[in-house]
Amino acid sequence: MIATFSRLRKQGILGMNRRNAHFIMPWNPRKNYPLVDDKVLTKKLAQEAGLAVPELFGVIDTNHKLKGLESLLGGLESFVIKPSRGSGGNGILVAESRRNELFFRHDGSVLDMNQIRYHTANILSGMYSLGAVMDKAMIEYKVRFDPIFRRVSFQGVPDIRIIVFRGVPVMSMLRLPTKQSSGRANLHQGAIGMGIHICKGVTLNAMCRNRPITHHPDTAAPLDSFQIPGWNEILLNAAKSREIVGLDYLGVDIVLDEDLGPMVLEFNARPGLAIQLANGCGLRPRLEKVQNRGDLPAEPEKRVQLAKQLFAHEGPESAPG
Amino acid sequence: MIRNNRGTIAVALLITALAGFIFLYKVKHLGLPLTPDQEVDLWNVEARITFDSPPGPAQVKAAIPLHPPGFQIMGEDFISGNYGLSVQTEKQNRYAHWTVRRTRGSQSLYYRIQLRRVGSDAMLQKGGIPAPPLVPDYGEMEKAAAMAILEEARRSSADVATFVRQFLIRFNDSNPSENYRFFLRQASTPMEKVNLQMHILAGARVPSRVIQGVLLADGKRSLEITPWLQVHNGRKWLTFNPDTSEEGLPENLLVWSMGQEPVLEAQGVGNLNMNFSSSIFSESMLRLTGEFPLRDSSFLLNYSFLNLPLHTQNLYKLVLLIPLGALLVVLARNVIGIPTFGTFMPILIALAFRETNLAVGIILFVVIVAMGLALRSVLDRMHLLLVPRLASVLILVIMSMALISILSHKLGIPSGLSVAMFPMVILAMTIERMSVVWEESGPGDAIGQGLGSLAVAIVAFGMLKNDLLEHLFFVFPELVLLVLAACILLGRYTGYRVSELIRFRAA
Repeated sequence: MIATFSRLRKQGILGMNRRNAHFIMPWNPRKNYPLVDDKVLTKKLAQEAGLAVPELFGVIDTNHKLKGLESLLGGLESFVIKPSRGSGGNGILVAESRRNELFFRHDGSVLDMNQIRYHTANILSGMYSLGAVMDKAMIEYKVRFDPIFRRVSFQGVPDIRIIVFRGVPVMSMLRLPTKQSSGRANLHQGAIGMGIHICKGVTLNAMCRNRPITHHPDTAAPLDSFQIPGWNEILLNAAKSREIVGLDYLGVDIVLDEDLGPMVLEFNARPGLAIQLANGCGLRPRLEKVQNRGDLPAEPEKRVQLAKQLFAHEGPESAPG
Repeated sequence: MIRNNRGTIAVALLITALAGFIFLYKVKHLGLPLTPDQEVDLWNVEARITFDSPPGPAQVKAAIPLHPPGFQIMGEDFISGNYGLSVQTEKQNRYAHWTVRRTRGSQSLYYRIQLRRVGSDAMLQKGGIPAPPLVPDYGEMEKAAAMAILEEARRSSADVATFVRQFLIRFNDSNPSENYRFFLRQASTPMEKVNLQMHILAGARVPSRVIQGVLLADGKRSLEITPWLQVHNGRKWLTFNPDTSEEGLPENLLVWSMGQEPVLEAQGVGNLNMNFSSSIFSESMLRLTGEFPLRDSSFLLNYSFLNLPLHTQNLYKLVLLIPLGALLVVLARNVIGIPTFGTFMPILIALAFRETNLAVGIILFVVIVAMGLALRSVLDRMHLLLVPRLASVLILVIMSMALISILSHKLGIPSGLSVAMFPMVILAMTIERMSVVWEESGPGDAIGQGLGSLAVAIVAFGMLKNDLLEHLFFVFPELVLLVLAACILLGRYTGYRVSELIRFRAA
């Protein structure tokens, strides 16, 4: 056990306690948490800052407004309903397609209006939210992900998680939903994590449930290395997030839409640590490099450049395995 | 961050030092017991005064211990019959006055005192350094004898202690020299003998005095008060046995009164006699500190839980252990990484287990939570909103508890009845949280967190039920500060959790 302890230390693996004590607590002012906890607000701020986000069709914030749900969904082929203050991908309902009054989920199951209304009411009652407080339900554009992911995805939308420290993209991974994660991109629920070389935007090793894998568990497709398109723009979006929400240690979730390109989905003030396994290296040396850096450039472009310069030869990324 | 850590460590150390100091003070100085069943030996000394009274009034004055060196008075009482009693302190001594207007015949009065050996004779040394006495106005022959005696003793001694000892050895010789024989003729009672010793020692200007005490012996009756010689060597009073010339205050010597004033005086009576009996008895140390009104009582004891009403005491016996449970949760979550429902749910579950016994508690917990989850899934199909559903789960939990109680009673299992006291809100909340986790993160997480909570609760239960811990935290509530210091330190623990060692082992 002590051997593992010192091995992880040597590898620079960041533990939960250190993440909380050294990065989240000193770098993320509590007063800015509401900006990321309330996704309606986050979306508004991101939009104002000129970032592309999935379009918000409507917000339902009282049981009274539930009546308007049907007309809101009237003209939509597909949509996503999610809690504004949800956590861990909980409470997200995705309607992929529509036939008359019926919608279909990612796994092909049918959704009628009653079920959608019940789900929305549950969201309002705070069922999926931090601290079970009353919540709002957001209805937004359902991303049609870039065809490059078609080969490796199975139900749900793959997204890219980037850890941004002081506005510098530090580590990134691709999150692929699986059957086990029921279409959600959360690693602890069984989604696949594939590390992405932070400088090149090339995917690295894949892991699922904290174990390395080589093939998709649902489709058996090989999880080979491929280039993420528009990587620079993705990094730039991530770097800009720092100013938007005023948090220095941040997880930025970005999706790649077939037509609309990279879009910021949400921010996370307490991003998970599994990204280290997907990348096969620890966060700590990278974070400390950025931490010891003194003043950082104000322009997001320059911070992306800095990241490429700092992490070009970092960790086992360059020599996967 | 380092500066931050230093501050934290300093605060924690400060708290630890404070708690440690109070704890040690209470153990070492106040002698509070470290274990619940620790017993202490107490002396019970009884003085019996007997006399014959002619018809008419009688008045008896008897010395009683005031601050006996080496002992702590735990209690005392008088058995005075129809006598009026008053107790007065005169200089270094205390006296009991018994008076009666009309009496006759053989009379008995009793005084009883309970003492605890504390081993400090500080009381003996009170009052500073005495001035050396003047050389007495010896007669011519007397002076020659005294000077010869003192000179002889001085020659074979190094300091005051050995000087007095040499003197006493010769004084008590079965075949004393002529010089001694000159004096010895004057002494017949023990008190006269000590007075004589003091008289001679004054010739060397050695300060001396008499104390009167009883040599206690377990189960002995008819003990007598005897005088002891004390000599001051410039730093402190030394005690000598006037008969054996041994130096030192025997552990079992109870100093009854200081000085040579008679311990017993009476007017209008005959056959006056005072004798003592003593015995050792054992007493629970805790009861002692709680119930005996302490003579030199301390602030810390006067303001302790031991003075609260009994039912409040019992409450605090439990409450003071809850911080320990909180520390356990901190350890489980931040150091080991055991997932639990909420932060302090495990402690609440452990408190619930106290109502039953552990095995029954666990079985009931598992059964009721399983039933609750099953019922909840039925409710879920009815598409109820959150709060009404929670309320329904609560109602169903209460109904299943009632059912279990009735069934187990019918089957003759008495422990089932205690489920009624099982805090049902805790169970309902556990079920609700578990079902949300079940739905959202899958049965694995739900069962994992459930088992984690249960495991922590079982350990917490073990601590809540531990007699020694209960005793320690109740008698030494400052230990809670230690727990606080530990929590503060763990608050800056940034190392890996044990669970992370497993989680990242593939890294």
